[in-house]
Amino acid sequence: MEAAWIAELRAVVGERGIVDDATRLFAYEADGIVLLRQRPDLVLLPRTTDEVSRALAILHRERIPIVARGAGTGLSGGATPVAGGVVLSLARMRDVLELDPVDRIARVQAGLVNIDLSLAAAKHGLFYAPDPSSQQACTLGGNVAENSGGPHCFRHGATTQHVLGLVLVLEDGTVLDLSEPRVDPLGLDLVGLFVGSEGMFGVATELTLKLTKKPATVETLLAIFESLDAACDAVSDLIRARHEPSAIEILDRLTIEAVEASVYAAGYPKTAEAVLLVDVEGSEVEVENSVRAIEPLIRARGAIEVRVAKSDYERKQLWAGRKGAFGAMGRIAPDLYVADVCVPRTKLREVVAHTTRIAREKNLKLATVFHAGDGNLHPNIAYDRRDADEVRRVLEAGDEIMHLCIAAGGSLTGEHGVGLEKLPAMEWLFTREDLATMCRVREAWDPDRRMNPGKLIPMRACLETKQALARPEHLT
Amino acid sequence: MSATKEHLAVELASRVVGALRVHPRGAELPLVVPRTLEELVEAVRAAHRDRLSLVPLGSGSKLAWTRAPASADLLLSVRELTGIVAHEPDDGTISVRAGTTIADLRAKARAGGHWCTPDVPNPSRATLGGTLSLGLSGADRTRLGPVRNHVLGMKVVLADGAIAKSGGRLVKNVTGYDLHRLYTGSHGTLAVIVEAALRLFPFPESEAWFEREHSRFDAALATALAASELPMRWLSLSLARTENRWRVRARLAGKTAVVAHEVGVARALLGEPLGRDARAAELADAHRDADATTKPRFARIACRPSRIADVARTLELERGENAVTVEPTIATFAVELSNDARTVAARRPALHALGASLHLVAPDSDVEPFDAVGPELALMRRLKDKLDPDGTFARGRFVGGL
Ligand SMILES: Cc1cc2nc3c(=O)[nH]c(=O)nc-3n(C[C@H](O)[C@H](O)[C@H](O)COP(=O)(O)OP(=O)(O)OC[C@H]3O[C@@H](n4cnc5c(N)ncnc54)[C@H](O)[C@@H]3O)c2cc1C
Repeated sequence: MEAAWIAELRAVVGERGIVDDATRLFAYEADGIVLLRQRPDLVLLPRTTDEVSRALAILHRERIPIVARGAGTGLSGGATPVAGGVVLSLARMRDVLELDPVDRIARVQAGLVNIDLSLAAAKHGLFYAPDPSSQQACTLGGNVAENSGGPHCFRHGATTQHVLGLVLVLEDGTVLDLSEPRVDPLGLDLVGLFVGSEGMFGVATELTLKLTKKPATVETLLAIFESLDAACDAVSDLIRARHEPSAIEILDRLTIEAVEASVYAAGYPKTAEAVLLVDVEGSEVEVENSVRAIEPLIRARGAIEVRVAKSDYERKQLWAGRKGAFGAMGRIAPDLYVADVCVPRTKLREVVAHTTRIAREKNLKLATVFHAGDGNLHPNIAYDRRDADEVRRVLEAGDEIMHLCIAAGGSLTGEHGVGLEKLPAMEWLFTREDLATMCRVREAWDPDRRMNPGKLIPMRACLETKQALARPEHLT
Repeated sequence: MSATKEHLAVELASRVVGALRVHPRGAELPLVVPRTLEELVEAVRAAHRDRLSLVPLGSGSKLAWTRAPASADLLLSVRELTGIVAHEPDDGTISVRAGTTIADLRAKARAGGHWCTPDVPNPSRATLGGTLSLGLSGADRTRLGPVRNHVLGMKVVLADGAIAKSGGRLVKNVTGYDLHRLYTGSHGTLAVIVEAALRLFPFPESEAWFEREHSRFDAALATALAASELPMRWLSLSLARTENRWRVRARLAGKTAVVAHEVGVARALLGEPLGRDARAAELADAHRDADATTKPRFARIACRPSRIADVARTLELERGENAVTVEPTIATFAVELSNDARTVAARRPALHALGASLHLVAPDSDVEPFDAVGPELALMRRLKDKLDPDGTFARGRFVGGL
């Protein structure tokens, strides 16, 4: 017989809001990192904040761990279920609740797919600026949880700069309505703190987001290089010369080959060692001026050709190629390990070259495509998960790349989050006190650590705070 | 002298450099000014051990922006923890100690070819630590958005003296929780900010400063909103009442050729610029340093942009002669208070009905400065209790008694 609490949950979310048969649960075993798998006991698909709240209250009473899930496109194992836990999917919460073209804000349910908001806003001459390459699939709630970026976040800023309010459900079912957009927070900045908390503070059910006016003019430059080093140097030069395009992206040769052989074929020259894609936006004069200043800089680094897209169609093609790059790489190998690290923009060439060396030493196939303007690298390693030795080498390479970035003054992740994947690496970058502080903040939101447990903060750091709190210094 | 105070005297005597009032009508408290991070840690640890409560501050210029603490034993200033920790002009980032003044910070950034936000009033007095604690954005918010968007990382000293950092010095980074968001605007209730890293912006090659005068607020607002729709990104755009006239003030900044073109476009609406380049910057600085937020007592009101006219009516802005500064694209008002704090506070319900918020700076002691916080206050209290269980950072100064 079904447990009473499951029957209660069924009553809250309805028959179509619950998944409990093994075949369908299989679809929720992993996110974008297929190496990390765990079958959940149950998946819930609520439709409203109220349903989420009632479901969480029941799970609170039963002390069952919860993992929120958007589209499952995450690349750090953030949405990987936990054993004996419930997955709470936002996939059925995808309504636009309010779109105010005057104040340029939208209120949406958290399961709305990123691109759908820009589509809804388009008729008002507005768009939602953060544009992860996965925007055709990923949810805005997932973007909030990861503080996602995208090519055009170079100019517009990552997700956190676009979140004006949230409706949150805490682990015990408490609903916090922080949806009214505020110029500055009243009291502590709970909304700002929640963004990027990787599903560990609660469930975001509704989001108040900033919409941006479409630029009057956009130009896209494609620069072709005979070496990846030179493309990296060109980007460092652009930053050094204080240029402000709206996106600066690099694709290397292997990525170009994959894209050109796929449905995303963008017309990148297959013989190039690297292409640099630069968007410039603003008023007509601003754009003209920038293009005129940027072009010679890029040429000076040895670009063999710099091309300005002639039509809107060509522009879209060039960007479809970039955004389809990860998908296209499916052709190179069955699986792709997408690393995501950050370095200062003065260190691009050095670090990118070093990642290539690491892959060569480990006999791995590396394709690089990244948000160069932000110093956010994606060394992507093609592999086959059935080959245990290759998997081992991939993970080793991932670790070495993170160490390399830390040594260069960089960090573990620029947009995909720590999740499960980078958990051990947190101790390489942060001290015990740093991690213990994160743990305390987390416990203010979720005292029993039932929301997405075992992610982001290495367990040890939390246990140590518990002990420290039990024996305050002034009592010993 | 009580035993604790005596202890304090022994422990911290070498660093106590005077006394300050935490509130215009409050008592004077000893002011501790550590010269190094180690000294600061030691002072916080001593206070924690002896169950003293302290108020962290920068230069102390904005103590009246919060309430007087429920009780406090000392003030702790970061003003001597100054200097640049790291400056990477070619990467566009800077990391400085919290006592560094905004003026010094901006000068350093400028030497590297950068503009540093926030462009707050009286920058040679304001410290970065104090500014970030209050979450203050500057006149450049029109273009750059709130300061919290540009804080890349922080180092803080927690209530027990532990040093903890979050973020880093990178323009993009999501490693760990954004605790610097939590500390920004926390009014010194959670930790002492001792270091922060900021993102920098290109220093403009050229500038232009416009002013257009109106006798009525509505007309000035219409001009300002029309200016905001022009095809240019204003660095700052405000309207202010001075000498009974409403003045729209707008600042262009950017590449020389672009600014030259934009001046041509803006002329039809705003007339000839009152100043170009260095002169424009001088005018901007002078008006910034005299705006309504520099008055000893004022009200800060914020709303949705579409509600500006309604809020202005509710505040009866047309009447009176007090200083007013409005930033129309951000939708904030700063209104100087004379003896009318109670009258303004009485308008709170009407403002709330418009979705607006109200914060009174240095009102009479029986007037509540902050709006009431909803059920989320419980969560804020839990955050306070987790990070500062003993109340080492004096309680009662911020919303809901935090
Ligand atoms: C091809 C491809 C390209 C990508 N490109 C980019 C890119 O350019 N930039 C970028 O930043 N990322 C990119 N990603 C990563 C991923 O798409 C983002 O992290 C995205 O934000 C995840 O959204 P999701 O809806 O799939 O979330 P999920 O993967 O389902 O969940 C991600 C995390 O968010 C939590 N979560 C989800 N919804 C909520 C909610 N409502 N409340 C609380 N927590 C929640 C989950 O618990 C989990 O920890 C890419 C991924 C792929 C597969």
